[in-house]
Amino acid sequence: MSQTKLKSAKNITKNSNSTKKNKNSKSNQSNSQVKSMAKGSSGSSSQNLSQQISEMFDQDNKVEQLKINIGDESVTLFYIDSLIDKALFAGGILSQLEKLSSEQSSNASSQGSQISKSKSKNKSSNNSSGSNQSQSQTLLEKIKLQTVSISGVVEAQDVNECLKNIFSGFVVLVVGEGAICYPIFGVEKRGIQEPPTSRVVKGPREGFVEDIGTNLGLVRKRLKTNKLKIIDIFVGEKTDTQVSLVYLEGVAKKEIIADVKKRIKNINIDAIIDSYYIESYLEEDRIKFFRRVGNTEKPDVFCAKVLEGRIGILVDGSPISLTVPFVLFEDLQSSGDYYSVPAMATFARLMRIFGLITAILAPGIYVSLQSYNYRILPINFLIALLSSIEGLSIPPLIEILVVLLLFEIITEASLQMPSALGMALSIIGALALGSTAVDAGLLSAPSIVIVAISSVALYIIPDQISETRLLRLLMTVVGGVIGLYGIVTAFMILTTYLTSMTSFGIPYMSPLAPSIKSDKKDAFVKQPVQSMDTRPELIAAEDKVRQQSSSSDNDDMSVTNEQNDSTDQNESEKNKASNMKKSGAVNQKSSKKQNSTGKAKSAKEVTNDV
Amino acid sequence: MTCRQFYIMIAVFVISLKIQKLPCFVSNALEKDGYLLILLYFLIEFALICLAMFIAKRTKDQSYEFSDSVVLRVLKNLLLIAVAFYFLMQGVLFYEAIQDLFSHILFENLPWTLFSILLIALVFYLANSGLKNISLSFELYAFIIFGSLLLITIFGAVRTDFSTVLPFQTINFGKIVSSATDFSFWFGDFFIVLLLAREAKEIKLKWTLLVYTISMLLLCLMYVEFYSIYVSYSSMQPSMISTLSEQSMLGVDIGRIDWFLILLSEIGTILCSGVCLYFAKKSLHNVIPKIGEGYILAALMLILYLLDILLLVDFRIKMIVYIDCLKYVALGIKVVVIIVGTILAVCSKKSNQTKSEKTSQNNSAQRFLKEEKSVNQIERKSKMPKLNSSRKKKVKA
Repeated sequence: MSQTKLKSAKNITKNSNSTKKNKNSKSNQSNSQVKSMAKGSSGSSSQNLSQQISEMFDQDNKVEQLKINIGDESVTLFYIDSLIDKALFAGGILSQLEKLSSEQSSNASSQGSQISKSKSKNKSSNNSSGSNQSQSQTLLEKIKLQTVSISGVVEAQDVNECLKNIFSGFVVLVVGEGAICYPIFGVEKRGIQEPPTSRVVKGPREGFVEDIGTNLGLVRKRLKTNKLKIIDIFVGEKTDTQVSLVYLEGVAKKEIIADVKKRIKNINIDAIIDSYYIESYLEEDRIKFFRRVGNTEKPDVFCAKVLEGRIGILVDGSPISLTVPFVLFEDLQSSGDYYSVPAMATFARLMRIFGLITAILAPGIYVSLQSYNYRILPINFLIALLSSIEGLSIPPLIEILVVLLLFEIITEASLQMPSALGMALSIIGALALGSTAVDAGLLSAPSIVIVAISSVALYIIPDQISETRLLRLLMTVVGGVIGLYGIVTAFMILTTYLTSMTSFGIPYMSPLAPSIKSDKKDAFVKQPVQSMDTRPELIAAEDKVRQQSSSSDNDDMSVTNEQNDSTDQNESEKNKASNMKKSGAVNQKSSKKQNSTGKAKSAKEVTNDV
Repeated sequence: MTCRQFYIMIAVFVISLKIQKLPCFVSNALEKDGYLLILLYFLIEFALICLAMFIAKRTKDQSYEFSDSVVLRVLKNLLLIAVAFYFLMQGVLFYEAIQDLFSHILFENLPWTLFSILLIALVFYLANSGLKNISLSFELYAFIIFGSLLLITIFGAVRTDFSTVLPFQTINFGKIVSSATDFSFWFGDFFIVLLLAREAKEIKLKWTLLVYTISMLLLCLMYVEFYSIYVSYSSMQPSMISTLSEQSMLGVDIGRIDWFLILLSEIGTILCSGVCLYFAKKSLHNVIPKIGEGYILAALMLILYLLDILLLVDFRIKMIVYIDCLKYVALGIKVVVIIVGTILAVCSKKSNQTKSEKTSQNNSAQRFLKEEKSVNQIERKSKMPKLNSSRKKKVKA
């Protein structure tokens, strides 16, 4: 049934489009078409808005127009066939309109005599436009009621709004001067799957997709609070891309929210294809080396950062979400750290730092030691090294640069090559670069080993790969030219630059510089969740308390330790008193209840009380 | 600047310069009693630091424009020029220590004339980035610098025979006191305490003295180790920091891996040279506010570079001459600054610190964000043109 209706609707529109082709002027075509379709209808005002809309399109826009007469009024539907859900369109809208039309016609026939009498009486009066408007409004209300099964219906008042909604996958129904927009977007979406850039052994495996509605749903699924605020901004002259700012009221700083909003609103570009465009505008320097905007593909990480006081940014059409402000230590943290044993997470973080330093400095130190400061090396190691580089015709710096270049070529090629050729090319790379070049005396084995170790260590922090690759090259050149002295000075210039950077007013190297004791619980060392009492000191606004102190939580959880209840109660009361001063708004009754019951109280109830 | 950053800077300042060439000179003059010179200066500077903290506390809210009198303004400018000169001299000392380590010790023959440009650029960048960024760098490297120094001290202690500093009855106190002025140029850390204490907030005298004491005791220990290891050859060593852990490394046959620790500890020396040049720039800028700070700093770096490549080519020989010429000048400047500062502190009113300020400034992190506003206010005050006395009379009329 729905398909036949759709076919009939299509036939009508096809006819309308075919008649257009036969005529010369495109604008005249649409006008005449609209006029011919609207013959007999008394809705002269409905032609204005629908006429205005239809004048904006030509046959190449592929915007379908469907006119339906309901009683004395004519209703025009505008939509793009490839964007809508055809089943929902036919079942939710067309069928309802048909019902309404038949009801109207049956009412009209029963009241026909009454109408003719009223018409003869009111022949002289010239209030057709006013009565038409009210009729249109009434019809609009009836249609809304009839099509109540479709949620998210919005009303549009002007042409621009209607156009925007048509291109966004809405079906725009124009009656009189008013219009209703039905969101029945039907383009296929990618399913929620684990993002390839952030895999975890334990923890959630959901990832953002290109559809912003789905992404917002993933966020709302986790943050079920009325403090969650979402501000929608539409950016891009041609794309009109939806950009949503997500933050928690009272947790995120108002100055940062205002700053982000202002920067996004000031974007004056024709198209926003990916979130990277927005990221570029949020960066404080045009030529940047280190990013000051975080990004993630995982909704759990996104929500965790929003809970810390950051502002999250979702962009329609991009699975990569952005978070601001951003500090360097965020790249050392992985989502898996929060779902595993703290000791293991700490070890992993220390390994990441060690890997990062190795990736950046290993080739440079190797070159400088070989060229200038070989006395630092142990004698046995030095003998082995000298024997391996014996007979090499190129200096150590050139040799390392050649190996680095070859590794970069292999890396880039592996991203682009088809998977079928991957095995073959990797063998060629390994054999050619590895054993053959060394056997031919073109390269030395230690240089290949050092560069290989450095290249593997690069990927220990995936988000810093591009910066690390460039820094590695810089340190290699500096180390090869002026040895360890150059590496030390270059490293100091780099760190001075990093300490001077800020991200939306927050120092880039916090919590190391400046040193913030409470934030160091989640820097190099990952402390247990129970110890994370407060949000980041510099990022969060007024609401800095995440949970009550860990000693009171342990009291609640332990049911068997009844012997220690009395002493623990005293301690917990003391801790609670100090926390009350901190938060300033804790309900004392909740703490008393916890002590009196002696049973575990869920975190939800505690936060509700707060 | 937070109090933590202040304490770190003081500790690094105290140690950095004195672990380079000074122990060699001291060993040459005083042999086994060199550590007593350290203790003597420790006692003197302990008192001077108390005085410096008192002066800093009383004059903290005052800008450099403390008077409208022409005569006093001329004296003020002269004093500021002297302070700038002093810090330039100190900066040269730090710079030369770094130069000596890299060009003569780590490398056999580094073409320093060309390669020193990189170090000049680094020191310029540090001094130009402001005291806030320098103090953040100190805080960032604190763990690395102190960890390296401790490890070097531990490695040195492995080969130390503490009995070489005995017996105590042969100590020549007169010689120690008489040679104290020869090394006065290397000391005088109360001066930097005075200037840094004006920039920092919520610092306490007891913690400052504790940090200073620990630093000097560590220094003392390193001196004892150094002499104990090399005894009569200690004056011929290139520097203390590069040779303190050498013997223990050679014994284990792992090369000179300790050089990485030495390089990490040298970071403190580089940062201190940046601080000296910063204060020299700031003092001169207060004398000539019309010229931008960057230009003043560029001029100072050029002077430093020319001094380094033309006059102080061979650190070991020329440095002695340099210090001999300037040690009394430096001493005089320090004495004058202390006297003037004491007079100003006694004459000025106590700074009114309200209770609310004290409680709210307990949090160092929040203080960091508030510091920018206060620094801007102080800078605005110093930049604001002061009315001449004649103009003031007209306005009053």
